[in-house]
Amino acid sequence: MKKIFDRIILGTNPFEGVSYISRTQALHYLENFSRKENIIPILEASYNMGTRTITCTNNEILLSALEDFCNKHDDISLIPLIPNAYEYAREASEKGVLGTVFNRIKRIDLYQKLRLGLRTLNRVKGIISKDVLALLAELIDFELSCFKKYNICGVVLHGQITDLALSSNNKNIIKIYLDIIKETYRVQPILATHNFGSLLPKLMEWEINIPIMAPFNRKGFMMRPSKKTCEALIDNTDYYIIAKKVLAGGRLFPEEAFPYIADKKIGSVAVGVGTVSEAYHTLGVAKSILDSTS
Amino acid sequence: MEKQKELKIGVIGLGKMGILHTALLNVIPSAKLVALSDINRQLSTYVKNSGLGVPFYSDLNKMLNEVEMDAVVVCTPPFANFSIVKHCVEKNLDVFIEKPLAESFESAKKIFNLSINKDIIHSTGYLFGHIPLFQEAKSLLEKKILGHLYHFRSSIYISMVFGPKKGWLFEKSKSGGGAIINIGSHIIFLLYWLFGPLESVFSKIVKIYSKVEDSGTILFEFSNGLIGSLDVSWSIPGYRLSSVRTIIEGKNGLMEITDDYIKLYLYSKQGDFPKGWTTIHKIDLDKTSKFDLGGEGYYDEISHFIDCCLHRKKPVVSWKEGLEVQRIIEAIYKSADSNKHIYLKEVQ
Repeated sequence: MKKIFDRIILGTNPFEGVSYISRTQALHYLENFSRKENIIPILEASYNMGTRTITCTNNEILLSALEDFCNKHDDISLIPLIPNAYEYAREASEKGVLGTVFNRIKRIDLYQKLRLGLRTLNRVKGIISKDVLALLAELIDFELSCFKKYNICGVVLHGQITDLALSSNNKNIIKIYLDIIKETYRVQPILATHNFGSLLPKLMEWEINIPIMAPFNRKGFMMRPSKKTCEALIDNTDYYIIAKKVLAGGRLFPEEAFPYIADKKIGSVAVGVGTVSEAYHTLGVAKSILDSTS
Repeated sequence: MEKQKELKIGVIGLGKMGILHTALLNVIPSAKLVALSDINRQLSTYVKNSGLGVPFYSDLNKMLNEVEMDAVVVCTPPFANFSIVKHCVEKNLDVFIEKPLAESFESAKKIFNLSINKDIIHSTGYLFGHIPLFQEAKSLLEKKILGHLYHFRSSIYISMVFGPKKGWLFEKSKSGGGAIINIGSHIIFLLYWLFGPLESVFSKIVKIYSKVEDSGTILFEFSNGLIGSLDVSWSIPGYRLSSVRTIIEGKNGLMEITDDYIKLYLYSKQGDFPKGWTTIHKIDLDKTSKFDLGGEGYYDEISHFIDCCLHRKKPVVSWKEGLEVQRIIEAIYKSADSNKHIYLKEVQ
């Protein structure tokens, strides 16, 4: 399989307050990672373990940590995940939709503010009429504006959008996303999904070959419609696969999890870690098992 | 080979839940989405660009007269449900109504009465009835693993309202209330589903930002003697997703039910469960739904409704259960208004 991304990618779910183990753990992550000082040591530990590619969203605290981290290391590549649906939902509930937008705008330079301002009318119209295509184009521009100064090697379309397009049989959403990412930003688009077994056949039908980020793990957690179907599909595809949820939301030890990935046609693995010791352990095991396979 | 039966279905109301159900119906093999309706004409652009390839109607009657269908999914704001559902029932359509059934117990009763002497399948969108972990909890309680139940404490929290808000959700006459009917109704359904009929409630509610309640505390007494409490808030930081927790104390031990796991502590071995702690994680349950959109349970909920329509079975959550939840909610609001204990038999 042609190498498109690094074999091991650092995921950032814990930094976003996402946990599949319990809401209590999620709350702990949210509190702990509300300070960039608690994120940076984990990024450093991951760097020490050889990880150079990081997925991220435009979460303000994470961006601030990445800014410090990337100032120190010039060999880091980011893979933004857009749109940041979780953050919008959380921030909009606490600050209101306008408060959320203003907060985001603070991070964008003057040129882009003017450009976005000129396009505001279209965006508002998009929201009112739920013209998803107009809205998607605006969201992509808006979200990626935060990452201009970084080395971007790919952009992931959030699973909620991919899966909405998939279930609505809406090829246009995917096409527009691909066109904007490839032509305007000149980086590799990626589709995240929670429905790999339905997405891959549909992409083949639409003749769209694009890297897919999907859950793959020994437990079959979130492998839909079934573990068996997903495994059969991956055996017979030339699509580049980035596995996520490889630790089954924390229910597998790294020593159990990575051998399953190693013997599959999986190009890369995105794995999140919540502590410095987890970073050394998990990424160490991943490296020792996955570096010898590809 | 016999062709699989297919249910022709329309969706009424294209807000967040309407769009979600529309997309899910489009991937269920035994469902055929045939039309969409919303009073907002501008949504025709969304439907045109959506890839669904079905007609859009801003006039519900026109849709019902022009399009041949077997069932509808109603996702309109609660205050609009009765008149819409009435038209659909008159056409003998099977009807799924997103929760709650209506903005008041009175309207919910009128909706339920529409189903009497009609051969229609009807369902209410209380999602928890379709979540494997909660089904597991119900099964454990039915097996009497805790023995006689004495007491429970329960909560549901989400970070949603932190300032004055506008819209139908925050007008009692349209939504039926605030945090209790909006998010609390899910866990009220769960408690009713797990423990059976209620005897009485006593409640206090708090309005912080809205004209409707933002938080509330309720004391329950069930007909089987079980007592317990429920805390509801949509104005609490840190809960990106709704967070549910119920701790039940029984003769044989304790059970904690959350969104992510069930934890048991037993004083002695009960069936396959040893003395002491046992945790059942949802990740370990071998029950993956075939498609995921919007979160756990939605696909299973709507495909269960389709299956019930095709095979003329009663759904897990029919309007009967929807009406009972609404009766409890009505009692909760009556108690908060009167500062008195309200017996469910008073809410008729």
